[in-house]
Amino acid sequence: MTPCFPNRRRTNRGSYRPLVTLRLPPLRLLLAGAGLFLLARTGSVAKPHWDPISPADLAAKDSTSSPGADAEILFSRCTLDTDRSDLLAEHYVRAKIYTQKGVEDRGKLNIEGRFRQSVESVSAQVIKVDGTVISLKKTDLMESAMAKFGDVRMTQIAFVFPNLAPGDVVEYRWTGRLDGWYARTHFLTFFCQEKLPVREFTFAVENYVVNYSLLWFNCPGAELKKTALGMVVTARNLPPFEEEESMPPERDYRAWVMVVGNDSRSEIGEQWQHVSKFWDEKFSDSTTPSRSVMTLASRLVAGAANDAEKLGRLYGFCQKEIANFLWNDTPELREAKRLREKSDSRRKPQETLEKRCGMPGDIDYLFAGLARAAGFEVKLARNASRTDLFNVNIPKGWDFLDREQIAVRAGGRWQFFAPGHYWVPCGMLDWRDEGVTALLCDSRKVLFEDTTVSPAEMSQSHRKGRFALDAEGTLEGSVEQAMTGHLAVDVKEEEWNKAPDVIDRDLREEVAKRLPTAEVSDIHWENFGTPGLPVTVRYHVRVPGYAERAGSRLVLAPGFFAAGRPARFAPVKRRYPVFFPRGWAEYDDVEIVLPEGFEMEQASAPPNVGNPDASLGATFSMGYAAARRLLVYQRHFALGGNRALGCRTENYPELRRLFESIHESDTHAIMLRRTGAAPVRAPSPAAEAAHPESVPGVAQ
Amino acid sequence: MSREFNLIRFARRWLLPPTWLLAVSTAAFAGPPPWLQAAASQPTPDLAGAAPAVVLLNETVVTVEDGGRSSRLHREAIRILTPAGRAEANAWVSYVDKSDSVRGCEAWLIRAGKTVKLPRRHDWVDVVESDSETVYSEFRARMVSYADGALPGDVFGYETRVQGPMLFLQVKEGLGGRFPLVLDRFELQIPRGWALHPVLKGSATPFASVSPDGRVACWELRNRPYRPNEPWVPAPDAAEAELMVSINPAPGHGAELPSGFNTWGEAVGWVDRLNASQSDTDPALAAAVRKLVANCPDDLAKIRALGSHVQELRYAEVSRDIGIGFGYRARKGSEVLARGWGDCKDKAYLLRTMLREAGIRAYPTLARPKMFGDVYPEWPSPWQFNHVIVAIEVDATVALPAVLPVYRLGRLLFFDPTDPDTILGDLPQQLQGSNVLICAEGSEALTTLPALPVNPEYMVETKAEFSLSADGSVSGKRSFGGVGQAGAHARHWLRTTSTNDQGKKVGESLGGDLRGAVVTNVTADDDRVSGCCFVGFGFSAPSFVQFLQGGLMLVRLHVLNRDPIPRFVEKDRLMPVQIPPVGEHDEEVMRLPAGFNVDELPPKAVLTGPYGSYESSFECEGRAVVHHRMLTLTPGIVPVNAYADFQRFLSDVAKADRTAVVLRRSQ
Repeated sequence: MTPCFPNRRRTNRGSYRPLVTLRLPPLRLLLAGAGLFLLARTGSVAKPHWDPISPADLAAKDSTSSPGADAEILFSRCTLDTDRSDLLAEHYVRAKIYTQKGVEDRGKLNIEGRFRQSVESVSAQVIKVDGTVISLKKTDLMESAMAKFGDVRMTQIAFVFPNLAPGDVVEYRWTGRLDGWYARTHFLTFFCQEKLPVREFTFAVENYVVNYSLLWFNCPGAELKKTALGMVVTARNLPPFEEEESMPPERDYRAWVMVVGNDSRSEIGEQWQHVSKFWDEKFSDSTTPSRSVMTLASRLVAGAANDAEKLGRLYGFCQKEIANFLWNDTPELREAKRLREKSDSRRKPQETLEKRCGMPGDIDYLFAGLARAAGFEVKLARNASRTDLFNVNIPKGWDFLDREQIAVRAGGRWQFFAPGHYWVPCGMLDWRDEGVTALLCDSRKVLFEDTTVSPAEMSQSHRKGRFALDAEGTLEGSVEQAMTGHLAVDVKEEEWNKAPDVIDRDLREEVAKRLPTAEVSDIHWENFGTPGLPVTVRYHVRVPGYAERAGSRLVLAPGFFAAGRPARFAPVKRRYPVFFPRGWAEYDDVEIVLPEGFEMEQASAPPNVGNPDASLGATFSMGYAAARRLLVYQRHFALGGNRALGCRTENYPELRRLFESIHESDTHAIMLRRTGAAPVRAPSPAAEAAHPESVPGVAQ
Repeated sequence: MSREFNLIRFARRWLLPPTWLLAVSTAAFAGPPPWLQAAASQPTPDLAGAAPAVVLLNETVVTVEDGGRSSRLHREAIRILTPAGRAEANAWVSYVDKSDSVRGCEAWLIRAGKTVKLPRRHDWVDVVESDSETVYSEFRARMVSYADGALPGDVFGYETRVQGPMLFLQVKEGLGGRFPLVLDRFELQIPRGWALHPVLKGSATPFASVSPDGRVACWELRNRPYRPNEPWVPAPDAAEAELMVSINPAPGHGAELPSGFNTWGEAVGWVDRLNASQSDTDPALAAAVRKLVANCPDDLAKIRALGSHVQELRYAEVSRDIGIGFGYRARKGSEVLARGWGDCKDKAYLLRTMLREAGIRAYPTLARPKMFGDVYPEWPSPWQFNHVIVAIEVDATVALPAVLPVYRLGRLLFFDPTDPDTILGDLPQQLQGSNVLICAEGSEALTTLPALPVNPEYMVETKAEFSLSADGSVSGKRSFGGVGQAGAHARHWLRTTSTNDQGKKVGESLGGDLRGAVVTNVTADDDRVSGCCFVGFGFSAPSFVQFLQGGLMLVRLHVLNRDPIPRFVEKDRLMPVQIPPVGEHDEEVMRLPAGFNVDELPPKAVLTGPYGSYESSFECEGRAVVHHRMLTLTPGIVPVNAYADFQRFLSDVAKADRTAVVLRRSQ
């Protein structure tokens, strides 16, 4: 059970805050609450109530639903209640420990309070296999202040289950107290699927600070019961949740529940319309172009051949001419940012234009204003991050729409722009915003539109290597790599703020991960801090032992850029679909001058796999210029060539097989056999320049 | 309430504002203090190199008062040099709750000589200093970060003042650190008539001076270069110079003052007095001991049974009453046994008590894992230790690597009941070769624990036996483990890996080159008497080889993976390399597929040198190819000027590992 409130705040700017109705608890609850309050004041603490445990649970040696589990949550209950203006979350968890690892993992518990949340009424006990109960005393529960600042004090209560052993059952209860205001302005979510199997998860709302909805997701067979006090949802036999490589956001597959306040003006089904209208009105108001914005827009688009060119010019102006607070750092911009942060509202295009700087959202809104001024139909598109939730078209899904794009109608379709992201080129979005369902905010109707996915060809990596191999198997030469699209954005985002020596060290580490003997030197980067341009890196590399020794032969893998990279998707089975964050393409161009005195033996080119123009594939070509002893190797790989980035679970074996085949082709080697007679030296000047000095070999 | 009273209150509140006004003006309009202005006005020294930040001033003034209290004033000024250096615009001051009081915390950010962020008390956050195994801790810290507001070129400065009682009449301070340094200064002020006895250790020697009256001593370290994060650095967190000072009060003082130590015997006495009543026993403890040793034929078996029991107790730490020395006092043995958990000192004293119940004498022994630095014999102080193990009396029949004859105390078996993976007779790597203090009557000196040889102590044995098929698939079994610390490593893996995850983890360890590998039947073979622990498993993969034209088959055995050779990617090195003990012995037996014969085997490779040795050989044994590989790295220090040689040795090893076997289809 997630121990505390994993809550989210509604988005700040332009957030839709529904009208909420405070619902008073029934009188008997008020009286009961008063009684409890008095008890607490007089210092009498009610003894915690523990449910009886069945002999079968005590005697169990293994989990029936997940055999081999180290422990199992027999039940996890959370009840939301109110106390005066506060919200209380009462937790009760019982877990069975099966193994020593389970003892290690569950033997100590920290219950941590968070911001505006305290922890109270903690109690715990261990039930031994023979039914003996060891209750934790008050002195066993150690409270301390994790952090204090200003008036805020975040406490934690930690304890160790005494003499815990495999076979024991542990149970513990605690109450989280949350500021009522906080609960009213946030929605609360709880994951009910854990790393351990959960036999029964119960979530009850007895009283809530406002009129609410209780929603649950990915809980097959969950039951909802309405009680006199509120609602209870129960899910059973939840398997352990374990994250898998390249999976969709966990909220789409992991079980969770959500409690959220209702809008008193409408039914839950009508709320999409309300939020759409609310956001649209604010957006329209905030992006109305002023006279100077209109003048600028007409100047910028003057002479443009078509809509795409017009939008490209507006985008370029916003991204390059307006200083972006997040990605530019000067004392003046720091000061401007500090002043800007004092205001919570969105800045109008006119003001952003005058100040020539702004937050990413300000720049997006300036673009919207300019596009409107240029005569385009413009809407605000709101979406959830692809790392958070795919399927937002759910009740209350609008609560997750915390990212904004500018949708412009051009060429008969909606196109999406976000020039506020400093590195993202025109025609693309941050990868977290691509391929998601966005709400096109409109005052009259609810419109959903999927944002586009950039094809692999928009994110290319061109890698060129010019090498010479010596008779000891050492490869030496120069490398040039240029990255565009998402690949360039990733590098710029990751590295722009780092010191040059750290960036170089990162590159050395990355190469050494594949090729442990690699010595990388003379590193030169280009276009690191420039939006729109490809990032290029050039370096010199020497890899002793690159070609493996097989007696008198050398075994050479010409695919230098894929050499040493492990195959992807090791597990044979998979529970969840595969989803890649972005598509990309690789173009490798390698030339290797082979050592004198060697010749190729029964060489063959690696087989092609899949289709790079479709969803996944790699093609290879190899040639040999005998006169120059020059081996030429080319490789083209692409994932998402047809913009498809996902794969269903049932198709996973095929995807895994494709990746294995690609890996096999990537590591494909050719054999070099000693000829005994040294041929004429190769005439390639590049090869001569890169020819290594003699390298001490391994003593034999 | 009368009107007059209200007027008086009003007057007090608003009409007497000089002090109020002064306070506001001081807080809001005062610039940085002179010491910070002076530090910030210095140019960036050339020695800063590529460092992200340079420390312009790091100054600590400790004032010892007559009554044994002290105050500690700390000032630091650091200039941010690169965007990455902004993270260094933060301050941290540690203190002990309920004992120390933090009298002042102020921080400033200076840009072009002007304060850009005014000191605000609520910027400081008070946090608990603990780790995941801490249940309660009195160690706390105040911290502040101006990283968000800082820019390259800014100078971040802060000043803190902490007061509290001294636990010992001793002071320990480190000078010099990772970042380039203009001035690191430590000043110690003592009452008139008191005396200082400093001990200096480390790679740098600070300039020392004492005032004519002997009341103020000062140590300064100037112009130190940048020490970037590098792998395998000896004691990475240690300062460049370690200063340890014992303070002797004036004659006539003493009884009311904190403890001071002139000999190791005094330190032992202090620890023993503190723990005198903690090795208690009760019927439950006595019964538990009787039950545990019931079937033990001799003392060694009893020690093993009791030691294993204490090792299995959960590690959890409660740090209470630190200010009065309880960081060195164990909880009562009966309580630790009853609750089933404790920290190192709890476990050590409990084991001592249980051994005593079984008629065996043992001594708690203070230790310090080597990763935290050395223990210096010249400075007797419990302060040098942060761990407790046990020294157990054994007779001449016990011949285990962790047994050592100790003057006056006889043959002692050293055992760490906190490490659940290191068996009786062995020692954790971090304790081997370290100095410990045995808390026994008459113990007057440190004892150096044995450093065990790489072979067999650290030798990880990996064995693989598998059959190749003509279609290129492979199936077989593999195991890894060893004795000593190699066995402890395998034991640790078994202890911390869920049964359901073991197959997956082992599959990952096979390496990404073994495409489509399926792992079956993970087994464990752990002998806690010999220390031998192995993990075994079966595996199969559909395509292990590469087929070449002309009926050739290429087999790479190194894809069966072994622990990777460490990488040193930087061409230059600023710090010496500390080589840890490394041993790998691999044996791979590959049965040939029907219809294939060996065409060519890689040659034998032998490398020897001051840093270690390597040997790899392939042989045909009937219808099988047998590969033996042995690598050992000799523990020691590689000086900076020998770094290139060491790098070359590792590169040669990695290169020699890249071999392949060629098979040819029979005609």
